[in-house]
Amino acid sequence: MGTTKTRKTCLYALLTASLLLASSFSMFGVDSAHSQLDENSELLVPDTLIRGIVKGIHLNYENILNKVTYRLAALITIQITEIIERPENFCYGEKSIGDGDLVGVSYNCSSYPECGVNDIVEVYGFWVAPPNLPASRTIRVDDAIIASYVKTVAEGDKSHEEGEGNSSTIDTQSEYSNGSISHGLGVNLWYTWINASGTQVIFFTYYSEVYNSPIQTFLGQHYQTVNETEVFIGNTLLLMEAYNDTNGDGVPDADFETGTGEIKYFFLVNSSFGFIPTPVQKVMIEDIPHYTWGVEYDWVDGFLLYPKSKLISGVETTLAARVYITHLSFTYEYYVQGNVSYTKTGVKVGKIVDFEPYALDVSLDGVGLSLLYGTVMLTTKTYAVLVNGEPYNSKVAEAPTTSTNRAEVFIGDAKLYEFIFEENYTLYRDSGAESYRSKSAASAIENIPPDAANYLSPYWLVGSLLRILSEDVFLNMSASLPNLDLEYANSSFVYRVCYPTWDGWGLEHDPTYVAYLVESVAPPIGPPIGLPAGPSIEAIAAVAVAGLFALTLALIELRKTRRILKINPLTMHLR
Amino acid sequence: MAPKITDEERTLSELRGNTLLVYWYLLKKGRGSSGVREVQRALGFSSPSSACYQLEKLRELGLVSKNPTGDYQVSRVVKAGVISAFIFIGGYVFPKHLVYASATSIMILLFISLFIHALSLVLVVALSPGILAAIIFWYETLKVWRHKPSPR
Repeated sequence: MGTTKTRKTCLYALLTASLLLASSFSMFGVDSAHSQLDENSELLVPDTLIRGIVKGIHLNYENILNKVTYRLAALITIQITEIIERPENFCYGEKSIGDGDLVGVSYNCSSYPECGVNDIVEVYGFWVAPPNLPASRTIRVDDAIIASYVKTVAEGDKSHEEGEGNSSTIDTQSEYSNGSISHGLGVNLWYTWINASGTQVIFFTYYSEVYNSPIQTFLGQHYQTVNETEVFIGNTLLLMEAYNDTNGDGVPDADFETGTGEIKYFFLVNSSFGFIPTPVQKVMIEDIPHYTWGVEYDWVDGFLLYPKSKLISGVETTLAARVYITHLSFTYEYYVQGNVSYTKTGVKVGKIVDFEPYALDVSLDGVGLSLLYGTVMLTTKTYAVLVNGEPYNSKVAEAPTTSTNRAEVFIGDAKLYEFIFEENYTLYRDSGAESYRSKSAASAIENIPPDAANYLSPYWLVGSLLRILSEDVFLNMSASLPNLDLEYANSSFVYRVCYPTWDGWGLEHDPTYVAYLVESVAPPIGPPIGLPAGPSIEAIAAVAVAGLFALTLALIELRKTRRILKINPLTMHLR
Repeated sequence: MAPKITDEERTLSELRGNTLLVYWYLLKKGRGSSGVREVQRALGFSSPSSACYQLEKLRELGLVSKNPTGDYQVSRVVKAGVISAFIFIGGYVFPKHLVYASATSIMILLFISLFIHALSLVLVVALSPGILAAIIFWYETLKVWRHKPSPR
């Protein structure tokens, strides 16, 4: 088992290295095909035509740096059944390639490859045999190579591709469930559904068994409050940022105009080699059902980018480094206590490994980590977000950052939802675990790195996914769902959860979100252990005043009793 | 010129020693009545005549009345002296400070149990007058209880 995993890891590493090499060439405007083009322009013409059976497809989403879109990089493994046209050097080292041999096809096109596993395909491309990387020899099919293609000649047996757990809908009648929904070629949607105590929780994440899974999750909660107000609130992790907390306030203060802001880099997480879901479980704790689930992305690759492009070695680029994060996991615990529901999310960020800087001064020493979240809020009545008791809207906020430890969503005087932050987080250095206080802040849209905005386009539309749910879940707002997306610029509340001490080590943190199922103007009764919710200032003042009154009474009584007890009750003489 | 002594002051000056003990006993009985022999046995008097003497003295002071069967019961409650520090309910007697002490203690404990997860210095400072008051009330309760009239 371990050997298989090691082999798989090695294969992934090899494929990534080859793809990285190709992408690096592209990034600096040098394509491997073009590089040979300079030597001999005739090489642009495809020189290899084969037929074969698709044995495997390994695909990867890669952000094309400095561009808005993703590129699909794929490696298709084909077992040759017929070589129709072959170049002279069509061989692995000394061994000539023939029928029955496996050959790789590197596919770097803007559209998805149409073929699937077991399909019979015809490949017309250019045989690339870099002298220093013999294992990466592939038939290259690329938009840049004229008339190259991968064409499906006959479809193979697809029955194995349908996972046993795959379905097209979510059983909304069930109390809780997990499942996968096919969502396009090679991509599935893994969901967790909870329908308990009149509230529904839906968690989505993309994954793929053939792609490196994209890192994208969404957690939403739907419920009805009194007066038939329907509420849907969700959030998603948009961006990870590394910042220098020079002013010591714990949160990143941006200034992208002058470039003197605290955000040093931001991460563009690309994809993950491993996707491990933890199905939802129901556990009874003190007669209250707790639902727990989670997902873990292993070996996450991504880019460390400057907030604004810089001139490095004569090339203007935002790329600071290529990095890997050992894992990224999200765990959730949901329960309803009285009329209040609690969603406790656990975030684990693995340590940075394989740090490949593209400039000498790139370093994560002394920097903090900030996780930028966007929210989606839909209600059937006008709502307001309050931060530190004041109305707040990220779209129009004047201050770039507003430090806070909680944010509330109100309709009129009724509190519908509460974000509670600022618990301690654990930092895992090699020397051991350390505990620090996290910080949080509401952020203006303008406080998001301008180049990062290119990568935060509404790539993932939540609305279309939520429509998978039957309309009877969303009684009144189903008409609004098609317009629902995760575009951060439409978010009225963008917030950051910040870890001022980080240095690239792994960390773990548990923020809490609270929803109010009925209108409430008072704090929830009996908050869960660990919540920082305390008495209000008015309550503390009332306690102090009552205490002073009691103390005055006690002193009066003390004096009175002393006078009474001066006389012996039996003799009535002074003692 | 000697100060004029009111009836109440005269009553209080007479209400002492064994007279007070008998009155205390009858107060504990509440609306119930007691006979001479019962008082004698309960308070350990040497003879019924001693008990009778104290009861008659109380009757003359207007604090007890005698019913047709010859038993005595409290007709007027004097809220003065050590008696004022006690509450008599259904045959039970306890210091009135016990009510204050219990009330303040329950309030403080309830508040602490509700917000134990958010205890802070501000909260402790706010609670400190109440805690001090509770301590004083408990001290008073014990002190008064130890001084309640009882036969030697």
